[in-house]
Amino acid sequence: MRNRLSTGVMAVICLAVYWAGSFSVAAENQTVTARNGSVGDTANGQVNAGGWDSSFDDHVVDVPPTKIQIWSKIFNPPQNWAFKPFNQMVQGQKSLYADVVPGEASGYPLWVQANAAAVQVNRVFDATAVNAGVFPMHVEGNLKPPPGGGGPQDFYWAVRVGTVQIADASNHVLVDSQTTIVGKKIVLKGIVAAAGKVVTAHKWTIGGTRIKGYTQTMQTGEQTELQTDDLNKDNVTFYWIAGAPATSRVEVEYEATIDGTIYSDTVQYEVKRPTATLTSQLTSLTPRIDLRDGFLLLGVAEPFFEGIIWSASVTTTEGGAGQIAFTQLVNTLRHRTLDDASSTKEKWTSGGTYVLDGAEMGIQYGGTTNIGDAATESISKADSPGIPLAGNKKVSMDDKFRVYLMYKPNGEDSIWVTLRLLDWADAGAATKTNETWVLDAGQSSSTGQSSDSNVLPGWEKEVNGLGWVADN
Amino acid sequence: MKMSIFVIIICLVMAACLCASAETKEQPDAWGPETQGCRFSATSDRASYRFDQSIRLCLTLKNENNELAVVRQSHVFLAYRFDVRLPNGTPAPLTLEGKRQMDASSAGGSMFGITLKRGQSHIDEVPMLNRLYDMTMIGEYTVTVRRQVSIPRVLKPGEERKPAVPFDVVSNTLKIVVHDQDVKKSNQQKP
Repeated sequence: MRNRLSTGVMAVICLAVYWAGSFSVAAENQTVTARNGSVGDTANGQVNAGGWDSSFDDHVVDVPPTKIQIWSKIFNPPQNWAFKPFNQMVQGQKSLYADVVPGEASGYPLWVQANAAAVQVNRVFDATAVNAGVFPMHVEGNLKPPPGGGGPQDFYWAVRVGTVQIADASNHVLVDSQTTIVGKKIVLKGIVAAAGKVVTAHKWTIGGTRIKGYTQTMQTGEQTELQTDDLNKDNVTFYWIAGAPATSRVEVEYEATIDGTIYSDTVQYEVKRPTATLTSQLTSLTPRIDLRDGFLLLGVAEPFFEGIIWSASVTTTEGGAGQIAFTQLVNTLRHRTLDDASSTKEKWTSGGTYVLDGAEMGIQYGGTTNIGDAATESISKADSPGIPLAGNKKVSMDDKFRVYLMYKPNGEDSIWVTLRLLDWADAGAATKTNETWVLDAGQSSSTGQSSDSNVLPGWEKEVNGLGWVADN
Repeated sequence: MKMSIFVIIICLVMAACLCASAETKEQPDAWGPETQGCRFSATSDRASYRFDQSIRLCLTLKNENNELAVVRQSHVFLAYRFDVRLPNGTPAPLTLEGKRQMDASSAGGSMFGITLKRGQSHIDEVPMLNRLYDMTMIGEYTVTVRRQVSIPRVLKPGEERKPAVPFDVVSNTLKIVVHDQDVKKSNQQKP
């Protein structure tokens, strides 16, 4: 309200410029539906129709560099039909072809240009006003059917525009296609302009691969899904974890049930995602798994000889600055026979599930690397898993590892999302005979091609929390 | 859960220190003997602690060799060998958490190398040494730590590259006094 005067002045300027033809508004054409009956014979600024087509969305065009926006909508009759003029016009309505009821945001200028083939309704408003974009409007009129239709019959059309709209966390109405990045927190609100009406239900339909949240601690990596309750409120918070090229454009729809009628708004999102490569290389040592430095070891933790090296390159999109890192899970089964009188046998197992391999390395294996906007960064980490020989007569390891190349965009409450996935494995055993350790036959190690993935790493334990148990 | 938190703290500190493999701004005063150009230091944030306070140990390995030095990052009990001695000179026993950690280390696990150029240091912190070793007895403890280091060979033309043989670098012997001043005051109030 405080800017109403300046808004009005700017609106008039915009209108003048618009009418002078300095720029054009890319109005959205939509075809109305013919209904049986009529809406009276007078353009009187009142709603006369008994039924409404509420599937019409508003269309707003920015007018840079000002914050003035022009809303414009063109209605067309069905093919070969024509709009039928009213016989009378009251309350200063400018059109004989359409009866326009402005709705709540009537403080902003509105004008109508119409003929038998098109009705264009325009409004100028100041985008800084919180509710400027909320201008439910009813437009109704009568229709003339194509010639030769079998005698006189009354038809009308009636639409309702902009009753509900989608806004962001700052209450800015989202009117154009939006752009976001995987892992960024999305907060949307449904705004209903229906003073005095009762909203009995809300419903969000969100396209793409989206989740409610994802948290990481040493003990758990947990993804939560959006539940029905989350989608049936007037606001929703979520994250997209997949983006281009798989689902580059997704749609969010908000529906509000007002006095028993469903009204909706949709917003298109382009979800961007960094591109990435991930390769791996096993140690050049032969054999790869051997008895080294008091361990049964894949490679050795030294440059050129690491058990495996993962190398990744990540390229972000504009606005995609953040962090990249590896997270590794392991499905492990290790056995040992203690060098004691009873040759105690024990095993250390994750029970066939993947657990975080993070005690020594952190959840983000060996740390994170910053990456800028529209930038490319390379990271490389290594692992030389092994089991100590000391105190044992026999040891074995059978590990299946899963490496996630992950990315987290900057921004409050952003989450880590997966870019690529790599599986690799090792297995080997050694036995002490006459105080001499010997590598058992059958050791193996393997790594494959990485794959594009949006699967988030989930775990319920950290590998060092497993503990040795009796191996019966 | 507390044990888990402690593990997390150790890991976080160790992980954070992975990024600190650069020349340190403040070098420790006390170092162990130089071994193949590498020196190792064990320091604590204070000289004395009340028995229920956390004893924070800072471990710094510095490479003064002309060649690259490699230290292996893994479980704290695999990366380091601690010799913690009670005031009477005997080895301090492990706490229950220390035993659990030692047990975990015997399962091995992931390991990777950290390369230090000449003049670079690598720092790890053990935020609560007395969570691993029983240091509840009053008196002066000694702490000596060993860490394995390897120095990859500089290859001659045609020479085949082979893994280096690791060697131990020993820290200075750190003295830590554990006291019970507040306990004495409390006892004096009892009848």
